[in-house]
Order: sequence, then C-alpha cells, then structure tokens
Amino acid sequence: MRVDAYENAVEAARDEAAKQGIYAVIRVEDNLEAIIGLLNGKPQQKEILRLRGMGISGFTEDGLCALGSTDILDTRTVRSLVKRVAETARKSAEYGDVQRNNEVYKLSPLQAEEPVHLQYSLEAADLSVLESQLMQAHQNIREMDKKLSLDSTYMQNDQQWWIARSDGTDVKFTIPMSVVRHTMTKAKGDVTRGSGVRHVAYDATPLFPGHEKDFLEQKVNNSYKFLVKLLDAELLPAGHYKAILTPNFSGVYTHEAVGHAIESDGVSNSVLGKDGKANLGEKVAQANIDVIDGPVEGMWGNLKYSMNGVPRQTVTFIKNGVLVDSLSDVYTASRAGTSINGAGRAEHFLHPAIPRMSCTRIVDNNAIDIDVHPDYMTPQEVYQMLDQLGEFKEGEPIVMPVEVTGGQVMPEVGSFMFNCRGIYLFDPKGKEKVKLYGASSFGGSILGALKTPMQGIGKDLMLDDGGFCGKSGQHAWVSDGSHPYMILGKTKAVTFGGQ
Amino acid sequence: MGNRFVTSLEKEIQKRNDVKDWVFTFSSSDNMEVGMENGQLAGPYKPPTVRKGFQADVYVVWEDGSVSDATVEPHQFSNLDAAISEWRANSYTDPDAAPVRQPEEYQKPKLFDPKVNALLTDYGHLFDVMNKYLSVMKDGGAENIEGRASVKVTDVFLRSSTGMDEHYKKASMSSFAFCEGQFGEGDGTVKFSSLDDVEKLAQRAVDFYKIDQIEAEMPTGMTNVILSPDTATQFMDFYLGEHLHGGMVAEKKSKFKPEDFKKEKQIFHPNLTLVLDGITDYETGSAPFDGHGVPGGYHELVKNGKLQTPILNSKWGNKLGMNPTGTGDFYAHVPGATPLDDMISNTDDGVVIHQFLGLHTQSYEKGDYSVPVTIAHRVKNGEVVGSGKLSLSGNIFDDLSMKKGNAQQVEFCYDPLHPRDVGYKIIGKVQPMA
Repeated sequence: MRVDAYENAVEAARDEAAKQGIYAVIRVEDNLEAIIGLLNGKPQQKEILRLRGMGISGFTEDGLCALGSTDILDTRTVRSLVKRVAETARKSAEYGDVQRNNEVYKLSPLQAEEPVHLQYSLEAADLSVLESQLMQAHQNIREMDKKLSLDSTYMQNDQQWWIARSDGTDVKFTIPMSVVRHTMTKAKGDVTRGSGVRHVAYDATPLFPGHEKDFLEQKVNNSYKFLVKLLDAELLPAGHYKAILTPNFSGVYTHEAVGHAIESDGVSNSVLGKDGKANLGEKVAQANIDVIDGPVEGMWGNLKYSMNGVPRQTVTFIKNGVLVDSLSDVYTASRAGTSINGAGRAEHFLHPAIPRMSCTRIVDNNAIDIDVHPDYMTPQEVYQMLDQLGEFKEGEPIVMPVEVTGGQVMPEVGSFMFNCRGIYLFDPKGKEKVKLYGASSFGGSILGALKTPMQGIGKDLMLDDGGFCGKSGQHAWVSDGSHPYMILGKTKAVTFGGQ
Repeated sequence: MGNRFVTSLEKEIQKRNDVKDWVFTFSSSDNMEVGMENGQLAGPYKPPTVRKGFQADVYVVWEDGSVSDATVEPHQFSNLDAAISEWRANSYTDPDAAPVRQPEEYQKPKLFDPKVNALLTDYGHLFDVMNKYLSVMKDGGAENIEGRASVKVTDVFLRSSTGMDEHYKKASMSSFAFCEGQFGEGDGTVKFSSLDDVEKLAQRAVDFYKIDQIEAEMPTGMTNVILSPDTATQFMDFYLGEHLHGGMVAEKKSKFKPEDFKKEKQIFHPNLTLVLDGITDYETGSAPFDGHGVPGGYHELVKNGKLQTPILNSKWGNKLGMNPTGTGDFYAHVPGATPLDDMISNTDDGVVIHQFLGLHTQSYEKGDYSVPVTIAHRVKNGEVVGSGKLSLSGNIFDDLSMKKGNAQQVEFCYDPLHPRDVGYKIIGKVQPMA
C-alpha cells in the first residue's frame, strides 16, 4: 500500500510519543482524488489532488489531550510535532476545567491490513480516458433536450490510511469512493427547475459499459422525465400525510431522524438520551422495526476500522423497536453507557476522530415480500401497487417524495427535516389520481416519526444511496437505505409540504 | 519578496517551453484552535489543535490553448517537474477559459493585527474566550455547551508570467459557542476580540435559551414575519447568491440574464443594495486579490433594487464581457434600517425567525422556500412573549420584489452585534410545527 512508504515517520512519531510520555494515535493519510467537471459540453475541471499528511492525537496518562498535524512526513518534523502536541496537552490544564479522557489506554493492540483491489484504480488512471467516458454520457443527456443546462462531474477518491498507536497497533486500510453527478436545469418562461442524479460506487465502473452504466442511464432518464413535469408543478399544501418512501428517503430519514441522535458523543444530550446516557431499553419505534449501522461491502461507508484503529462493528441500535445500543467510539462509549463499536471517523488527517455513521438502514422484519424496484416503476405503477395492497382503504391520499436534496437534524431539540425536488400525491378521490407537486420538505419530531407505524415493501434492502454527511466541520461519505418502499403512516409528528 | 517554495515553483514553470502563461498563489498558514464540549474545555473531540500547512494553487495556459488548474501539495515541491508534467497530461480545452491577467494596482486593506498574531503562541486568550462563554452560559442555567476559538495567520504570495508579484498577510480569529444544541453565537474577525465582545455574544445566546423556556402559541397563516438579520443574511446568501453567481448567469441557470444587468433591471425593493466587499479593513472576506490576480473591491451587485453585476471571477467576467468582481463578503446594505429590537417594538403581532433547519437542502431555482424554523419568537404588542417552532413558506423574490406593492411592505433592520447583517419584515405564511 502507498502508506507503507511512511514507516520511518510512523516509527519516529511512536518513539517520540514514548519519550514525551504520551499515548499517541497516529493517523497517516495518503489520498488520491480525481475530479472531472463538464458544463454544457465544455470541460471545466480536470485534476488529480495528492493529499498526504499525519495527524497525531496525544493523550497524557491523566487524560489531557491535544491534536497536531503536518503535511511534511520527515522524521524531524514529525518528532517536533509530537513534542508540540505533548506540551500543548499538558499546558491545557492551566486554563480551567479541562475534560480528561484516557479511555484510549484501555484498548488492545491490533495488527490488520485491508487493501482494496479496484477495477479502475486511480493509481493507474488516465484522466483523459475518464473524461472521455464522462463526456460521452454528458452529450447523450444533452441530446435528449437541447434546452437543458447540464452540469456533470465525476469524482473518485482512493484514500489510504495507516492508524498506528503507542500500544503497537498498526491498522492499514483503504476507503475508496466515486460519484457521478448529472444536474439538469431547464426553464419554461420565467420558471426554472432543476433535477439530478447522483450515482455512487467505488471506482469508474459506472462510466464504462456494463450494468452500472445502464442503471445510471435509467436513473438519468427518470430524472429528466421528472424535470419536464416539474416545470408545471404547483406546491403541495403543507399537512400531515401518509407517505411511501423510496430507499433514498427512508435512508436519509433514518440517518437524520435517528442516526445522529444515537452517536455516542451527543446521545447523552439528545432525545434518545436519559440521565446523561443512551436511553437503552426505551421503546422508540414500532416492534417490527430494526435500525442498523455498519459496513456493507461495495457501499459507501464500508469501513472495517475506525480512525482510532478499532474494528468497526455492525450495530443494531434499535431492535424490535427498542433502543439497545449507540454508535460509539473509544472516547465516549462509557459516557453513553454502551460498548465500543468502532464508530470513530475523521475526514482527513488534520481532523479529530468523532463518532459517525457508515451505512445506516431501517428494516421492517415483517416486510411484504414482492419483487419491486423503484427505479423501474412509473408513478402510475406505484399507485396501482398501493391500491392492490389495500393502502387506500381509508380513502386518504398518500405522498411520495422524489429526489431528496439532503437533510438536517437537531438531536438535542428532537427536530429533523429533509427536502425533495418534487412530491407525488396519490389520491384515490382526486381528479388526478397521480399528481406531481414541486419542491417539498418533510420534517418534524424525531421521536414522533420513529413511533409512526411503518411497513416495508420488498424483502431485499437497497443500500446504495450514498452522500456526504456534515458534522462538526467535517464531511464523511456514508450510505443508507431500506426496503424498495417503506410506507410511513400519517402522523401529526411529521409534516410534508411546500407551502 | 517571496520564499523558497515560491521561487522554486516559479523557476520550474519558467523552465517549460510549452507554457504560454501562468499565475499562482502560494499560501502558508499557521493555526491554533481550542474548543469545548459537553460543558468542559478540550476533550478528544475539541482538543487544543496545532497545525501548519502550505499549498499553491496554479492556473496554466499552455501554448496549444489548453489550460490546467492544479493544487501543489507540500510533498510535491520536492519533485515539481513530475507535478507539472501531470498538469500538462490533464490539461483541457475550455472555450471560456480566461487569459492570465496583467498586473494591476491592488488596494491593501488592513488585515493584520499583531495582537491576533500573538495568539498563535500565547493562546491563553483563546481559552479565556471559551471560559467566558462557559461562565455566562452556565450562569444562565445552560449545561450542554460546546464551542471553539481559533486563530489563523496566513501568508499569501501572488506570482504570474505577466509580472504579478504581490504579498499579503492576514491574521484572523473566530469564536463560537452553543448551549443546549441550538442557542449559539459567535463571530469571525480580523481584529482582536475582547472578552467584553464575547460576553455580549454569550449573553445573547443565553437570552434566547431563556426565552425558549417559555412556550408560546405560534400563529397559523399570514402574519408579520421578521427574519432576523442572521437568518435573512443566510437566506439571501443561499438564494440570491446562487442567482447572482457569474457562472449561473452565463450558463443560463440563473433567473437573471446578462442583459438584465446591462439594463439595470429593477428586481428588488428600492431600498435594497447587495454588496460584494473584498476591501474593507479588518473583515474576514477582504483580500487585495484573488487566485487569478483579480483585485479585491467594493461592488454593488444590486443597487437600490436594480441589478448591476453578477459575482464574476476572471473566467466568467471574460465570458460575459464584464469586469470581474473577485471575491469578498456578500451582504445587504440598507441605509435607514432600524435596530432589530426597534422593529420588534413596532410590531403588534407576528413572529421573529431566528433559526432554520435544512436551508441548504432547499431548491434555489425559483426562490421558493418551505423551511422548518426551530427558534421562532412570538411577538405580541411589541414584545417577545415566548418561543416555539413553525414552518415558514413563501418565495424570496416575491418577498423582496416590487410585485404587489411590496415596496411599502418590506422593512429592514440590522443587528448591533453584527452590523453587516440585515434582516427584514414581510407578511409571510407560517404554520406551527410539532
């Protein structure tokens, strides 16, 4: 692995940490990132970034800590950095009531190496070939409609890490990711609307002929048809509705409404906390519901180890509707009252490691077992499916949000929201049984939403909704998902609407 | 003036015989940061943090007309020849690419306060700032407190094949703190922040926390809605910033066309001027030049409600045939705006919006918004009577335009603690939220 080249720097850091009497968690990053951008048929960006550096979290025996980082990995610079970290940690005690945390001393050593072998590795990449493939896809989309404004980007990361600790731990792994984005904007008179597709993977596979490229094209076609209808769409009156969610919505909803509230650094103050700890044993959802986070092969967020060199576990933190665990790292697992499950992540070497999600999913243990796929069903077919399943028996409409644009949560307050570019209203009593409305939000109370009855449709989980999660000034790439569809009962705790 | 990295980069590029023109900025920075979490200083998530770093951002125009944008990381300085060859291999042809600019007169805003610079090594004041937030918030009854105070000193060099040779140094400090997850205040400045300044910010956050303890019934339907200066600035930045971006205008993704600027089309309320300010002393967005040597300046993007210029870098300025504006702070300038407290006193019935959730997820294209508001203050008879949550929906262009006689209906206010932030009062649509 590329990080093997920094052995001298790692050993110097470890040795100097011992001399300075501190426990060091050493994070070496060697990151290759390729970015290609096209706008309306014209190249905008094409470069490879080569980020390299070392971050050191240093802990005294009595739990004082500091963080230092450097881009220069020679032994002299590294030793100087360790000294500075040690001095800064010790000096911090002069300034007041300083938090002390020496949990890291309790970890057991570990040796592990997990390289990843990719079909289209960045180390051997010719950006011109990737640009050409992206341009082909870009031009195909432009051919659909000459009046489209189209922005296409391809980004691929090959992020290698070496996590070393004072106890002799050496853990090396790779976090690969790629994303193809096509964002379309179209105008009709004074009205402008946008839609887009984001397709995540590990490498450039979606750019080359094959199943993933075909799937991406299907998503683009759906998005374009949706965009054309969006130009004439009004806004849905705000209100409480029964909803049918596709995996990207159920996933983002789980991520925002539940996942953040259960991260160990914040759970004690979140609505899922009690008396300073995670409120384990509390019934927070319906009995058919599990919520799980953990590595899934092939998905974004597939992390085998944490940024503290601890194995990342698959955690069922809500089991049969009951809160049973949190997403915990070494520093705050005991504060949360749960065990360490390796949830610590850092965006880059200069950041502290904080508890973050990886691949989060909500599962209905009683999901209806039928073969459906949202990317291959029209809204009319979704309506028919709902009708056949008897979901309109109360005569009330059901909404289906389309193209999530992101979300946000306040775990302490218990509020979450996310947004979509459009929302369908399926109304058995309506003049139009299937009607598209414009951009809409979906938000409300975390606890209220969790307790709402949910019904999964389709047994196999779809977990490939990848995106960037922001927390404390850092981005982490994560994925989420659920069954092909999830029905969310109507509740006053959740509001949908655009006006 | 320069350093060995600047000199070596310049020399290596000049050795090439396939380079037509080039420009680069070399930035080195020194940072010190302290934080607090869970009501205590430091800890593993907000440790005292030291960092030094540097990089160069380069733009090259090759002899064949193709261009390259590249970032040079520290380790690449030991093998610049390989890095430059990689840029060449990844060059691309952009028909809108701008030429490298000629040197100009650059205004030099004051950006270096020695007292701020001293905090890099004598950083006790940063801890004092954190302790001040802590003590004010704890005295106010809050417990879950987190925050950060930091100082960053940056050296920036500008060089180009056309003769640019400039340098500036900037020392900035910032601090913020939140209690109970949502009641926060902070500031970023290029001048030393005193503990008195911090105390006022911390007290404001505590005041909001206390008001939140009093639940007030939120109205439904159309009512007086005051967007606080902070939230209004976020709103305008998100929606209007996108539509005023030069690339969006040039590529027809904005609702404004290039000719709208040339004709100075009246879009907004005649009292509203939107500014891009890169030149005022001791402001965080100020700089003598950007990465392509575009001078910092004071630009009225919208003047008295009329479009003047998009936000233009070198490329989009070249494409649209307009002078580039460079970068800077984006804010509204409304002479005659009243202090927020006065606007509240003059409001019989309504709400003040202080915090949104998920603004970044909204679709900017039409200007529609439907956002949850997690801190809304209820106003009755000119006084704030309590707090609650609601959703706010509408369209920012309708709110701030001349349509439907809005010129009479929009009033503007400012925040004495953050004088550049401007808020406004409209008749807006709200609905209580769980």
